Amino acid sequence: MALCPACGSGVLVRSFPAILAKPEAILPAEIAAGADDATCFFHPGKTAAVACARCGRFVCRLCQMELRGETLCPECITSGMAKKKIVALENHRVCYDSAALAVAVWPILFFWPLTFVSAAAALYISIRRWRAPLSIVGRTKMRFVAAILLATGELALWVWWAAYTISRLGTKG
Amino acid sequence: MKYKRLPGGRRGFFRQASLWLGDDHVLAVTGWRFTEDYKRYYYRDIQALALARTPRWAVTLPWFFVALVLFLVALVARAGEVAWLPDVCWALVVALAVAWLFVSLQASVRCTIQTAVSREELPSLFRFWSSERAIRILGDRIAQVQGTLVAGWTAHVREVAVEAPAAAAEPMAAPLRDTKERGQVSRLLEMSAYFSLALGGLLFYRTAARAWYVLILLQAGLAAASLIRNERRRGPRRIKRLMIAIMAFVGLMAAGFYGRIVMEALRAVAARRVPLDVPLNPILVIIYTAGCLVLMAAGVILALTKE
Repeated sequence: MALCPACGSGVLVRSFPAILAKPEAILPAEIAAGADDATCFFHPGKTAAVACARCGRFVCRLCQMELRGETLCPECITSGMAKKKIVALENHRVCYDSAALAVAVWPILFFWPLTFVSAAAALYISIRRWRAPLSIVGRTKMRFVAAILLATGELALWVWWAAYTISRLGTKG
Repeated sequence: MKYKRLPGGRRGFFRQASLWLGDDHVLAVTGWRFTEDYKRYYYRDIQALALARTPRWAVTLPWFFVALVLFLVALVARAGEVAWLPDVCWALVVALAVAWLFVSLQASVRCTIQTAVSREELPSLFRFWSSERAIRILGDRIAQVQGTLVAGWTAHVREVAVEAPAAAAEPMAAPLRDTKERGQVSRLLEMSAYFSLALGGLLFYRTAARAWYVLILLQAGLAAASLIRNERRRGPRRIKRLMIAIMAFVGLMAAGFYGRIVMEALRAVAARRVPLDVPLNPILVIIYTAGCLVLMAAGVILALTKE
């Protein structure tokens, strides 16, 4: 570890060849369309370089976007992000499996009478969101299964307690 | 796509963070309990990975749960028949707190990833041992894609980077060094305050003196305020001296109240017998009293030094 000359703290830096790469400059004259050239769908004055792999539109070098080996146009990228059709562009997910498990477990730890409501809620979330996409890093449905089992157990205990109480009241009456 | 988890990861009470190795990119996952936010850094775009030692005060769930279990065992064991168990548990809690302080101060890092358009922190990497391993694995993968830099590549970069601020380098050097020294002293003070606080809590839970509890809470508040002020550079200016005064007072009180017990404990240790009629754990009392006296001395020295 080297020492930073300014603050004196230990620093470890690992650099890669990309640090020396200079940004590619595209001059307007290079992409100006001639009379017989195919032009970009978004910029009629610029010559087309490639076709979008999804919609087939011709796009210029300014508009072409590389994504996992495919060339896409800005329109497809935007709609892919909005409709969550391109996994490589997703930047947010809600983990319903974790939510269901937490709803089933937390009341047991902190305030058990709430399990009457929370168990039903955990079951609802698990069944309603069973097909919802899980974490992007690859998880099984184990949390959903655990939440369902736990919530069912909690509800079964409530039912048993209710039946027992009613039967005792009946015996006394 | 299949991801492979990199060493490191943070799981706090509400926030979580982790780092995953993909085919062509590294995925940084951050989020709350039930949500995940993703950032992708493609191997071909990564320019550098940097790791800098710095204090990080992160309480992760494993630390918290171990301390909680020890605390609960100690509480339950007070009513039990095993007399030594509560003291062992408390000693373990203190050891855990000291280990956490040491790791937070000495083995913590801040890790950043740099591309052509951004320089961002990787929140999942905050301890030295896991960060170093993660950087090694990630660096090797990036090197597979980009290759490695040849020796002496920094020559022309240095020409650009160093020439510009050369004129301003001398006047800036003094304040930087001063800030560094002040920061370390302050952190030492805060660490000692937390240490004193933990021991105070251990000792005084047995007595019913409410004044002690108030004092301990006050000390905790001041230590936390001082910490926030140091980290964020804001807050009341005189708070550090007030904290020093409180600690000096605690030291004096402890020395006055428990001097007799300390002497008794020392005599017992010398005579190799179990001390009788000593209401508090003698080893902890010795540690606490010595700690308070050291703190008091440190407080006086700090109070006399220039701000």
